[in-house]
Amino acid sequence: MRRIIIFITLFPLLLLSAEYRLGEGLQIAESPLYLGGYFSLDYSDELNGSRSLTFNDIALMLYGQEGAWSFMGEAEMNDVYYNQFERNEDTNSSFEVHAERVYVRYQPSDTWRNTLGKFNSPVGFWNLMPINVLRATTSSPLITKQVFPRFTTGLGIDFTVQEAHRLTLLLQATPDLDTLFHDTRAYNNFDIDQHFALGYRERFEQLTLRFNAGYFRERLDQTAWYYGYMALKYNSSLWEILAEAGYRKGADSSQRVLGGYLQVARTVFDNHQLIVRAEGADDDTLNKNDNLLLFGYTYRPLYPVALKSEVQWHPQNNATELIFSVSVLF
Amino acid sequence: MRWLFLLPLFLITLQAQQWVIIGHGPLQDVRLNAKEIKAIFLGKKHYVQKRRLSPLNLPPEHPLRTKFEAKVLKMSRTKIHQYWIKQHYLGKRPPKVMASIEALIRYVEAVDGAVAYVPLSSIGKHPIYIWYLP
Repeated sequence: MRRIIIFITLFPLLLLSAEYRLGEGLQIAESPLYLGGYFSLDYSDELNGSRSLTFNDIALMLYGQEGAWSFMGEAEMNDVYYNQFERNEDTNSSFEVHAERVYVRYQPSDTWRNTLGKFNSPVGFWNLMPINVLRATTSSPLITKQVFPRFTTGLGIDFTVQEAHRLTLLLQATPDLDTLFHDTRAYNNFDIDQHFALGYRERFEQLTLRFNAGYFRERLDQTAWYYGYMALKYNSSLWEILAEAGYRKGADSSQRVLGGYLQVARTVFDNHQLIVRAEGADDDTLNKNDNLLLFGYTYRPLYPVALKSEVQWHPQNNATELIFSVSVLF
Repeated sequence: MRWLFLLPLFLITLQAQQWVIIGHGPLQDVRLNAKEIKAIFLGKKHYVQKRRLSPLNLPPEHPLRTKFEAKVLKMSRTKIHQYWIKQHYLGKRPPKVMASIEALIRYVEAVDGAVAYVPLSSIGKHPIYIWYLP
């Protein structure tokens, strides 16, 4: 609780700084260092089921750049407060701080870029901008969490030609960086100690394509997986279309995960956006096949402040879920 | 023939409105295209002739900045603002803002890799080079 009080006390100090504008970070004195962060408060109501309130993703970022070198440090507290109402009332608090992103980047030219540390795996589009306030909906598509490791701890090498064509190599042969600080499960959707992957990005005027293929191994039971992923993004002044599809298969088993989604977002007025998403995922490991249709509405009084609502309909069990959130980038 | 007397006035006016991209002295033979300039000012291109670039902006309300954003970046002010908020999450910063055209030119003169847009008429005898003339 003390950490929340410190956070709530420090946040208005950021806003009081003369040079500060919300969502742009705060320069530390005259140094090349900038401080920022984000948080999200989510409310979920499974009609005919449970309701919950989660104070989610409180993160602080510190980053800077000097010449060809740059670095990013991001510490996050996840599910800081969780309250499930009604039937089995349950309240949890967790103030564990995790290393979300900690990396050094060296870019000696427009062709080569090397990243060393823990960073978002550059797979698809959703995973590059995964925080609630910057994405279209509060919930994330199922396959963005089920097919590939969201974070890589190791080396990322980008080779870019004429800005439009980029080849990416990911090399991880060590446990997640977060295991240095916590004995418990690593802060990643897969607790891995190996991840090797190749990616290719092609950018056209308003359209960008990404293709990824990789291998990773889970740390505790040494289960190994192969995956393939493809993604498409189309952007215009009013429309944003995202489509991603992925496949994961056990290296020594026939278990597989397969899924995809198509999301269309339309800006209707300034600061207002309507979102429709259809998605499906078939997961052998969980013995679960889930499809859903989502309608969302997002209002941004300021761009770095998002008030979101969405309704999800799961046709298999005819279940409906409502989700609301308030999220801020500072 | 009276229009001939108006021609110099017309050329002076044209020169006052014409803007150019300027760069630091050591990089004399640089020629950029509009796509490269857009990439530089959106933080996607960082180098010219192996030198790291440092793009500069005028204050948001300056008419030349408005013109530059519309002609070269081809983005509304709102879209540019949204773009840099997303870049903040990725640890990237927008171009440094200088208070005036004179300050821009002084910075470009002094700093290796500095690049800025200024009116053609403001260059005068400053030891800087034109990298792009629209």
